[in-house]
Amino acid sequence: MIHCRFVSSSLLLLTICCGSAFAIQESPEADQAEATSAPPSWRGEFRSIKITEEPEASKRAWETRPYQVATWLCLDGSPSLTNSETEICQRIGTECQLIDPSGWNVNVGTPPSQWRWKLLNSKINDESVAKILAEPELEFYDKLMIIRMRSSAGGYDISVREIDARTQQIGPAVKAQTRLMSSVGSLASRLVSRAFMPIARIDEVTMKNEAELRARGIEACVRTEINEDLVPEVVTNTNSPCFVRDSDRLLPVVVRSDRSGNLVKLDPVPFTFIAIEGVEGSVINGKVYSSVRAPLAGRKSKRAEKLGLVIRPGDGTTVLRLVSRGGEEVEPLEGYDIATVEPDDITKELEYHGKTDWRGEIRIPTGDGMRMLLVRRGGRRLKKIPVIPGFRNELETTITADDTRLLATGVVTGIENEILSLAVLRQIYQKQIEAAIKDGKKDEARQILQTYSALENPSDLRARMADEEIRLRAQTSVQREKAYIQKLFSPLKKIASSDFIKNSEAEIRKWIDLGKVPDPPLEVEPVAESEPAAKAEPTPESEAK
Amino acid sequence: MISRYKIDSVVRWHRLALLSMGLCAVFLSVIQQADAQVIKEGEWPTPLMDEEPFDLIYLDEKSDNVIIRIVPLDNPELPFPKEGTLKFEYREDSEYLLQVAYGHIDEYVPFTDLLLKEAEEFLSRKEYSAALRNLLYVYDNGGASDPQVRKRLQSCLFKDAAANLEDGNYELSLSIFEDLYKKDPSFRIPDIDATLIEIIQQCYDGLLQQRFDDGDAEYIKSALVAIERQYGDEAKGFVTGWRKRFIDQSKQVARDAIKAADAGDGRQAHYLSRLAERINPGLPEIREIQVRITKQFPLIVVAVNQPAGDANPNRLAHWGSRRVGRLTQRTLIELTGLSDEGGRYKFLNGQFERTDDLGLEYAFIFDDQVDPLLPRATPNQIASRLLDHADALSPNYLPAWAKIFNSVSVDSNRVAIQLRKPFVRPAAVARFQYSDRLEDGQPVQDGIYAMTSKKGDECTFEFNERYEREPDKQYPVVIEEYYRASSDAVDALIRGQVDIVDRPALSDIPKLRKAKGIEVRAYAIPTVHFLVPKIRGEYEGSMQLIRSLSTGINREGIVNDVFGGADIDGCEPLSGPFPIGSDEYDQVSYGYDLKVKPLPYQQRLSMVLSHMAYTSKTAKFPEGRSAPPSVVLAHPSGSLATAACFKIKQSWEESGISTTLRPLDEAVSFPEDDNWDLLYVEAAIEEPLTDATRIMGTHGIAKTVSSPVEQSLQKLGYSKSWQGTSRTLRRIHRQVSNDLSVIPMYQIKEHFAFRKNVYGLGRDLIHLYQNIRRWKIEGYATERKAAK
Repeated sequence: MIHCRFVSSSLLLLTICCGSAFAIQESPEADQAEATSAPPSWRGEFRSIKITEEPEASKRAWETRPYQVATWLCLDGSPSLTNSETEICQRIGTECQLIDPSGWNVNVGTPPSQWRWKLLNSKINDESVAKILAEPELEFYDKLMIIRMRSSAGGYDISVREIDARTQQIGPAVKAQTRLMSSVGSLASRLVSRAFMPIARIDEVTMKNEAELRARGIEACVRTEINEDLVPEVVTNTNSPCFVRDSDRLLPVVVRSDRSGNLVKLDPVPFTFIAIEGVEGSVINGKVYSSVRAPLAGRKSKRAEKLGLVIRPGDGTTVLRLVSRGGEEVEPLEGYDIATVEPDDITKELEYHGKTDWRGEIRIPTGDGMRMLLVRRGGRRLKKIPVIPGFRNELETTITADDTRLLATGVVTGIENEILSLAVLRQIYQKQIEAAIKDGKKDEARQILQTYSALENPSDLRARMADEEIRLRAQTSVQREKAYIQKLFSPLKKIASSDFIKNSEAEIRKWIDLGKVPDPPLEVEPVAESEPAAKAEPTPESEAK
Repeated sequence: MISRYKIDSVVRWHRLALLSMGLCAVFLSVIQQADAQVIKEGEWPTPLMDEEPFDLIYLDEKSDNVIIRIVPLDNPELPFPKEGTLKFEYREDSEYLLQVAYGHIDEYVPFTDLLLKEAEEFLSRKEYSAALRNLLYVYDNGGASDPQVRKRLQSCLFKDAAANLEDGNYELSLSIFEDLYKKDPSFRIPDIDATLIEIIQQCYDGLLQQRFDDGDAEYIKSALVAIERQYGDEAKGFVTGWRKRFIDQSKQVARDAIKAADAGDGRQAHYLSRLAERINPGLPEIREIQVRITKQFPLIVVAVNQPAGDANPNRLAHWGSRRVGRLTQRTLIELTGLSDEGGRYKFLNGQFERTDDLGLEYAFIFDDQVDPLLPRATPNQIASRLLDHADALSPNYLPAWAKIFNSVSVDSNRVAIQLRKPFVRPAAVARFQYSDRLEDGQPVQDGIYAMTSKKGDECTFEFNERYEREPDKQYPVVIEEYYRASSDAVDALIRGQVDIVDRPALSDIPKLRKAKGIEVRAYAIPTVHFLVPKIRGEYEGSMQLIRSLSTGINREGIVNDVFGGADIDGCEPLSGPFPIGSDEYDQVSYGYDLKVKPLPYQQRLSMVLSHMAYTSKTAKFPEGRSAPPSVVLAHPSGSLATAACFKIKQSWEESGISTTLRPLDEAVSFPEDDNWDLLYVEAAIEEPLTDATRIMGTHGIAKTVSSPVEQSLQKLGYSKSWQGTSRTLRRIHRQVSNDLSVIPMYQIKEHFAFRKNVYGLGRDLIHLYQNIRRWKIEGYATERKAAK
């Protein structure tokens, strides 16, 4: 027991020492940061983390390049938090270094005064992201972690969100609460670790949507460990927040830049995620799931860098909003069914979430990472949408309104039922008439024939169907819907023209007049091609008749 | 087969058959048939009248003296001639024609002889009605000309009449004695030491006493008139005696009424004073007592067929809850009547008006004069209610309102609202309660009346003491009494035990219209009855089964036979979920498409469809389903709904659909668990525009509806004009009749009946209590006229 404790203490000490060594050796800019930003003379003052020049580590190869992480601590101004600001900053820095001493370099400070209250109290949107990242403070950083801390009646509420500098994407908020001031710093550092979104470069995407990616800094995620021979060795730190794991999902973003390398446009690929299938060294193999076909297809270009941002959702939910496309006015789409389906087989439903409300909205609960949502209406699959609940609070997608198609479905259902009832009733009445003829009850047979004759004629039904089809097709200008309506009516027209609902009134009238029902035609069994049809024998049924 | 052989004797054939038993399988069954016919003396079942008629033949020794039950081909001529054969069929098997030579028949006993013999046994056991049954059969089948049979019948009748008289079955005995009196007034009945008229008076005395005890004064009076007319002077003493008894009785009851009033028992005092009036109407002193008691205890008893449950004026699928809700609760806006374009609505504290041309802005404008009998509400409170119902996180969230409501602003005496889109009748949606506060776990009673007690089947409502009484207004106490059977409630109204009957059965309406001092009026809105399908198990989503269920309902039969609506305008089968209205009230019919064909009742088609549903091979059930369909039909506990569901069950079972009926608790209209496949709903649809989404769709009673119906319901929520509303509703009607999202059934016109001494109920009512403020009861119906 004592031995074990000794070994584990040694390991921890060694890790801290080695970590510090890495930090000291690999991050001279940390010193520079400290040098440039004078320690605050009083608590609550701006605590800068500015780096004056690009760190050497940022010039390394992609796979071994550690992340430069800026962390802004936004406190609500309560005395207890303000008084402990220095300790909290120090604790976060130390703990982050303990979590991964080499994969990231975390500098903790406070935001410039113009951002402090905004970041604490306002929502961060795409517009504010660009302004935040334009701060000179963040010039050489890859990531910005925004820590919000508030004191509440029950203790301290902490939430952390990441902004990725390259892709300008905001990560999901990760939240926790503690009652103890002493644990605020360490809890915040754990939240920073959870909110962190590693990044990967998308090298290739095949037509089958198989992707090959290269993770940034994955080879920098190392730690030392004493092996069985009591010799220290360097091993991969798979617990590092910078490490990419099999369960991770990546959000693809296309970063377009000009010849000078300046950012021109950012294109987060909508409703597209890459699911990791395997990680070998720095190479990641994954599969692209998207609501569109081949979302990442296109020629490779030096000025269009395809990146993938690892999304590790928190516990939150996402509101999905459906709106119409193709109409004069954008309308919320109400009453659409939303279900989670198997990503590779959308016919297999895993969970039904319900229908969109009058605002076209539905709340998607958190799940096991990515959910492949399927939008349905009237039994027709309209769109598949991969979503990571909690990554965004709200998502909006467009769907072509299909009101006329749905209307047509209702009409066709009605006609189908009418045809079936008509066919069954004709059969019933015919059998009754036959029985009456056989019993010599001609009057009764004639009476039933009157009911038989009152049934709708196939020609009238066909004419009615044609009218309905024309009426429905006139209600839409979308060719696809017109074609769909035609397709719906096509089998019905065939049935209505077949013997299925044939009106045999004249024939039956003759039987009644003759007082005899002719023997049914011999039912010819389907025979092999070589056998002549003459060989066919009457069935036992027809014989019996 | 036997007839082919033309055998001489059954027994000979029998023997022959026995001999050849092992040879021919065909004979085996015939032998068994022959054996089945042979019986022993006295072994035939009893009572004979419950059996198919048969005669007995006793064969001779050569035929082993067997006794056989037969049905002769023709009426045999008795005694038999020496030559010839008797042609007959076995009693148990009419497939073969047999014959036996007369010479082999020792004795022939016809069925009538057996009956006479059995009748003697019944008479000896004093089972007169059974004996009478046998004798009447014999009388009708050739015995009428037989003096012996006639004598026996008469004797049996006397004995039966005397026994009935002894047992107190006066009506039965009276019919016999009166018949005898008509034929021979001087006839003396054996074993009875009294004249026929004395016996008849004795019967009447017993009969009238029974009616007297039941308080059925009308019957007694008419009976006395009839007796006087029929028996003249002979019954003079009897009639005078009874009339005197009436006056005495009436005065005694009136004295009891005064005693009850003095003791503070208003209910009993009312009942007795009315009884006294009924026993002998028109006595001035009794009327005075009535007036005094009514002034002392103004009280109205309402007979209802569905108790309140949780009172809610907007609960469309529970008549009782809706009725009491209107009495004890108020809503900001209330429906007061019907117009050519939807309902007429009123904001209780003032006016609700449109304030722009586009139909986007409306205002609640408060009256300067505060009505003392309305809940006090400030503009801020109203605005808060409007916001609350549009808030998705509020328990009062109403999507139909949130859809159209955009913003609200408050002024000193008005609340202005802005809509997202123009909506044809926002007032129809904004029927919110003034408060969702609870008192003792119940919603606040802010109506003019409040429930003050509930004991068993009786609820008492009294003037709500949160308001100040207006001078010169009566505000009678209202007692709701729950009657399970409509006929009992109707009888109670005729007897004067209750003052109003809510929703009497249609079959009772002619009786009520004929009754003196009673008026019947129709409600302006009917109830629409439909079934909500939610098939569970293997048959989930089976359209064939749902169609089978729909075609297996005899809608017209139920309307006519169960509800008694054959000759009543406004009672008819429906093909859609909305009311068709009536000639008198057609304003509510704007959602009904008359072009849609009626849903057929085709028992055979239903049978075929249910069989198809069972045997159809689908991807999920490649071998067809494992068992024939079986459904649970949940229904409200009212007697008519139960009777209708029983009829539906019978019909479905004939179609091969096993059906279990599940009556719901009286206060419940929607099952709390999942154990049901179909739900019978009777909904009071006041405004199809807004009620459509309360019936169908995500927030309705039928939550699972087809996508086309759902789409139309969504469109309805944004209706801009009445023309468009009507078009959309008619489209929903067509779609529902196609896809049976709910199974439409029929519409029933609802009525209420009241005694004419109750005033102020009003006409064209939507709710029974909508004019409760004006209700007044007087001692007797003509009191007001007399005062004038």
